[in-house]
Amino acid sequence: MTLLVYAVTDRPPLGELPPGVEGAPVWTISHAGLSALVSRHETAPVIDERSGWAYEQVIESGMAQAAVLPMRFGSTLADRDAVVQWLDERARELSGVLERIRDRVEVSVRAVWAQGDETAAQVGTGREYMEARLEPERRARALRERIGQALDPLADASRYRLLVRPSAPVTAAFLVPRRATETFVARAAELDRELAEADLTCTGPWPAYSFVGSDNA
Amino acid sequence: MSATSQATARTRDVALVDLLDRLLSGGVVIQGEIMLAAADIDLVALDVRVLIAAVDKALSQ
Repeated sequence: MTLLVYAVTDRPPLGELPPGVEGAPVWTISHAGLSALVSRHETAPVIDERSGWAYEQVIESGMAQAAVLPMRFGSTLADRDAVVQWLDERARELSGVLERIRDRVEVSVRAVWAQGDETAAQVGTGREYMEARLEPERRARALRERIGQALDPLADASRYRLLVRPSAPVTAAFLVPRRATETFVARAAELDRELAEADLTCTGPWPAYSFVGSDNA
Repeated sequence: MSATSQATARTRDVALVDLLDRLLSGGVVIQGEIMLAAADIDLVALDVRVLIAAVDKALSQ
């Protein structure tokens, strides 16, 4: 048996939580002023579309009621004592991150090159080859600057990845005050219309997955 | 609104990619307790590549 941990909050969610991964009941284990949302499983659950959305819906349900730190999928602890010990060891760190993301949501912005705007890579000489390789990076950096100028002022934090695929120059996550979400999404839609070279797709509001990792502490 | 309820038809596939991206590379980590078996990681990686290809196709239409 193992406990799958969905999220940590500094108060138990007030309402009922939806069923978790594999339909398992979700409950809270509280210690040191924190509560972990967990469900019990025979073996650690495997991620797929269904289990991923079930996991997400539990966290979103908690997020509607309190500040929550989402856990990476597959985070498991052996039993209640292990959860209590983990909360005890990480209480100060977890509480600090909770304060940073309180009343904030994450919004994803993905840019793909507009159709027919991809740089041709069929080249002959060594110089042409190098220029063809550098060009997408230069264009991706320029697009990242443009997106940053428009959206960073509306966010408390942002993270960018460039060229995760040749067709995807910019993949970004923004930590946005909850009350400013509609303004942020409207500005992203406006930017999408302004950009001839790329199409932007916005999703969210998400729990702050991209702003709670150890490299963000 | 939430990520699950707000997704429109156009962004539904992108939302799934965004979800899997976040669940697998974001979030708080329990040191040494991430339990995805090696075989599962290969499967997930394959699924994500297929999804991304599908999204590329959907977005280019």
